[in-house]
Amino acid sequence: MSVVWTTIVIIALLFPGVFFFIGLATYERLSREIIRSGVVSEIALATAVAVTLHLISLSFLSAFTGFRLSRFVMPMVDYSASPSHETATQITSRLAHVAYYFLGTATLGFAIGMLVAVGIVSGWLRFLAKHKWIYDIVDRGRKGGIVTAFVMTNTVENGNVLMYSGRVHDIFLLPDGKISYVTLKNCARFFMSFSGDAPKTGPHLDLFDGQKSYRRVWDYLLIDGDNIANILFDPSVETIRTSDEGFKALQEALAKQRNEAREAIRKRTEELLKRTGADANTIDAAPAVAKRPTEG
Amino acid sequence: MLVTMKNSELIDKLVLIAGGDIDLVSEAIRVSATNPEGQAELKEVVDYIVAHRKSEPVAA
Repeated sequence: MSVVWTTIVIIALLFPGVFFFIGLATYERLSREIIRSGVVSEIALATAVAVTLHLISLSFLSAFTGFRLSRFVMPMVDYSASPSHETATQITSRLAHVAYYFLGTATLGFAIGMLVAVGIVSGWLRFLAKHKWIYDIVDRGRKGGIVTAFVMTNTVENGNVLMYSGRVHDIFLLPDGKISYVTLKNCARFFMSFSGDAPKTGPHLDLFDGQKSYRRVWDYLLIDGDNIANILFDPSVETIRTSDEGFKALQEALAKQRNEAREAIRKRTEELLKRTGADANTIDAAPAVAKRPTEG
Repeated sequence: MLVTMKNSELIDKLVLIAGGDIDLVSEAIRVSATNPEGQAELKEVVDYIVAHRKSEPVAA
């Protein structure tokens, strides 16, 4: 039985370290992946964080509330010499305090983990990261900027290299820092020619040129890492600051656009009907007629 | 390790009201970023896009 209780106590004591990693992953998943170098080192780090936070918490409680760990634990140490009902009373009277303590230290671990992630992404703890460049892209995205990627592929034809440009949607980075794939939106294709004295790029051709805007929102272009020769990331200098007023204006603009599109379709249908000499009611009734079961 | 741009959904909506023109969205952000930090108010970006977007051709 004591083995089970020891395991429970060890897990409970590691809570601050475990929640530190959860906090780290909540703000930015990449931070957690970059810091982690192995299971053993992660457990060691969780233990180190947990021990540090327990030391800080107990010192704080001792300094400001008069709490003494020895006084708190001592009555339960001699549980074998005391009657069972007295041990049970001692435990239950301390249970709430113990729960509050673990809750508090776990919350502290979570908050510190999140703070470290913010530090890594925004810059002041960037030295902890293995692949630092990716955080510039993450940070630009978080601040509301646009990161444009110019991807040179391995496809070469007659001295022309196929290239793509587009807004970075997501990147999958392998542990060694190589790109597994990159997903772009609002893409264009173009060539880089090696025929002259210096490499020259041709005109950018929209992949979905002529398509409606609502279709272009879904233009995910996935480029496999094996097809990428190199990538130039070009982040915008300017960023967007969001506000309730801004979101309201955006929603209104979207609603207006939807209404305009609906109106355009209605007008077009009317024109079509005029040309064919049919009545609008015929169109409305058509599906009902089609669904009606055949009589006889 | 997947990195997804956090503002991608917002930019998607701006591209939508810009009629699919990402260059217009970039221009709107650039023009509206008037404060020293280089930040553009979302409302100003939306207003700029609405004022400067080209009317979309009706699809066949």
